[in-house]
Amino acid sequence: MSTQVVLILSGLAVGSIYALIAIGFAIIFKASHTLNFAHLALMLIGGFLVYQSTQLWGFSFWTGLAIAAGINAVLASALYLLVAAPLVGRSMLAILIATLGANIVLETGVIANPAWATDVGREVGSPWGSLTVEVLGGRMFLSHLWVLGLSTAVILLLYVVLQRSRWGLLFRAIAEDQEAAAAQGINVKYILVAVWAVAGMLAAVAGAFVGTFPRLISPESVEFALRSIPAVVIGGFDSINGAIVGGALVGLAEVYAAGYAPDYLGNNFHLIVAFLLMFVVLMIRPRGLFGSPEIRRV
Amino acid sequence: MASDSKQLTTDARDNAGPTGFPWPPRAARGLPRLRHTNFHTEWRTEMALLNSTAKRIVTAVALLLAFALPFLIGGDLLRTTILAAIAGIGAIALSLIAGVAGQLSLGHAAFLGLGAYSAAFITSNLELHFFVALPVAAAVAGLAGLLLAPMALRLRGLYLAVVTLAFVLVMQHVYRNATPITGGVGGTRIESPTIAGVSLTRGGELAGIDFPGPTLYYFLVLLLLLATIVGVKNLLRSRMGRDFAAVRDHDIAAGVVGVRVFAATTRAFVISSAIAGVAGALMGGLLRHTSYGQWGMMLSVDYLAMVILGGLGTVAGPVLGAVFVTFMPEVLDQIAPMVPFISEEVGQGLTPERTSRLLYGVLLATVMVFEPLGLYGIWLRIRIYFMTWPFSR
Repeated sequence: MSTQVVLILSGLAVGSIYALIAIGFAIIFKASHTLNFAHLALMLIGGFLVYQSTQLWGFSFWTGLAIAAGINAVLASALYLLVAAPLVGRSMLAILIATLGANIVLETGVIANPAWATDVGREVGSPWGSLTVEVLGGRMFLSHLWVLGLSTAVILLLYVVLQRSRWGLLFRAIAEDQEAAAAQGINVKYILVAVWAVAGMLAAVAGAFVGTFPRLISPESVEFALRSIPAVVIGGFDSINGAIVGGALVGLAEVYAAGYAPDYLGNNFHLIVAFLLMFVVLMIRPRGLFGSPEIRRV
Repeated sequence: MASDSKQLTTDARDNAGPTGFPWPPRAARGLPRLRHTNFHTEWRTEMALLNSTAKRIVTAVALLLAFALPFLIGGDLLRTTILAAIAGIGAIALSLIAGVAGQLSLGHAAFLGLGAYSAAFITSNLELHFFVALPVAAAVAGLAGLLLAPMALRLRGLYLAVVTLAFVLVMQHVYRNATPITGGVGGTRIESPTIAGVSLTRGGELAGIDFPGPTLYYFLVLLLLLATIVGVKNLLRSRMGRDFAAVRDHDIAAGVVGVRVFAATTRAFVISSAIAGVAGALMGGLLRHTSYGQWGMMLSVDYLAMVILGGLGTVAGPVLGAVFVTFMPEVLDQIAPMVPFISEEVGQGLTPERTSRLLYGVLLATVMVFEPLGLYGIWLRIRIYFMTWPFSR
């Protein structure tokens, strides 16, 4: 019983990081109908920016998080304006390839930065450290609870913003129908920049959590962001709720696979279980669990 | 994506008078008739692979140069050339599936890897000749393509890109863990081919001629590259190739006019992955070793870069792209001492490989924005400028 509680909570904690990254993919997809591949590198940069702020500049973790979120927001908007905006109206695969190029550039930038990249990785200097706590008779890392709590808070905040603020209303309007929104006098480009910026901030928060105990942030952490793609696909590309459910499912599947996967499935099977889960879901529901079906005409 | 080019080469534009209307034709207006490849009086000349004198001359010179090359250069340069030629084969395969058939696949690395591991299994475990391994590699990779093709029919665009990417990661897991066949984390050996006891990669004397280093292997790769170019070019003008393009442009419309969409997609996947399997086996035969780390997502991205930079959906473009992407790290390595920001320390800072990756990341984004047909598109512009001179200003 206590083991199960610990496994579920840890799974949800990891899943909440996936959900944060997946929501970034989902809101960009909802607003601009493309997959922003550079989101992977943005998560990496976010994590390293927190490391830079806390360990090299000497700020507190929370200030570092704010700095990272701010810089990431600028980077993401710049990405939209330089890479995605010129390709509006072309096939979404063109934008996918262009952002893939941007991802290579940003990722290489991180790898080539000797202050950031090491063989072992960096700890972002989180205030909760490596303590453990007792939950319902089982011991688990305090950091898991912090990550789970903070991610939930961030996601709730996002929901409030989307449902209650004027910006949220405009976002939902352009997600519904971009042309109709533009015809109503909404400055679509302005909103899209803001959407990409918010996605960048979410990536920074996720990056900080990826770099916290029991993990370290290193250039290989980009694989962590890669595993949030199955999360957003399982949920359906254009669904924020789907991204959260997908993230939780992937996190739980990963933790249970790490705990119970038999030997014949190979070492590190938990690292690919997300992708296998995605295959299964897509075979049954090609648009993910919550994705809306695409209507196509000749 | 490829439709942009067609517009540039239509007869209407070349033939357009001052009003922009293609009638009366230039000849009737008393203007000199241009020596022009776009006018054909016969179906046969229209469909010919080399349908103009210029193309015939360029091809002849390129062939001569390609066959003379190993006697002009040697050592590392020849090795890089072989790698570029192998990459060219793989890139044509990716161009076929992603550009012609319109199924964006990020799973190319998996098919290449399957080819290399098949070659390893045939030559090391079964101790058969490398020439047996080549068709087996094609068959194994083709079979994997056949299994993945139904996915492509059910999923489109982004979902397909993500699923093929996942396929690469799952296959890497298999390579790492199926130790009896793949050698696990350490990888496994591939025996390079021999002819009459002479190793193709290490060189030796054959029929009284001394072939230093991998010269003979170069010829093997060159022949397969030529076969791939001719084969795919031929495929593109066949009914099957037109079916692929029709499915790419609009699968429902294609189905309505009688194209069998399922068959076309499946064939495109099988042919593309089989060619990729051969390229993987050739890669393995040259390196004589394969391990799971080689066949990751980065390799898929490299091939995508070759195809995009060269020209998506063309045949000559990906070969150019392959040469470009393969040689860039070497060139940067040579000029590293002269460029201040390129690091000369191994694995520290902005090494030549990283600079090259950075550069083609930038190019990938800029090419998508400014010249969707890549190098081939630039070549097309230049050609059309001169073909229609002096009316092209």
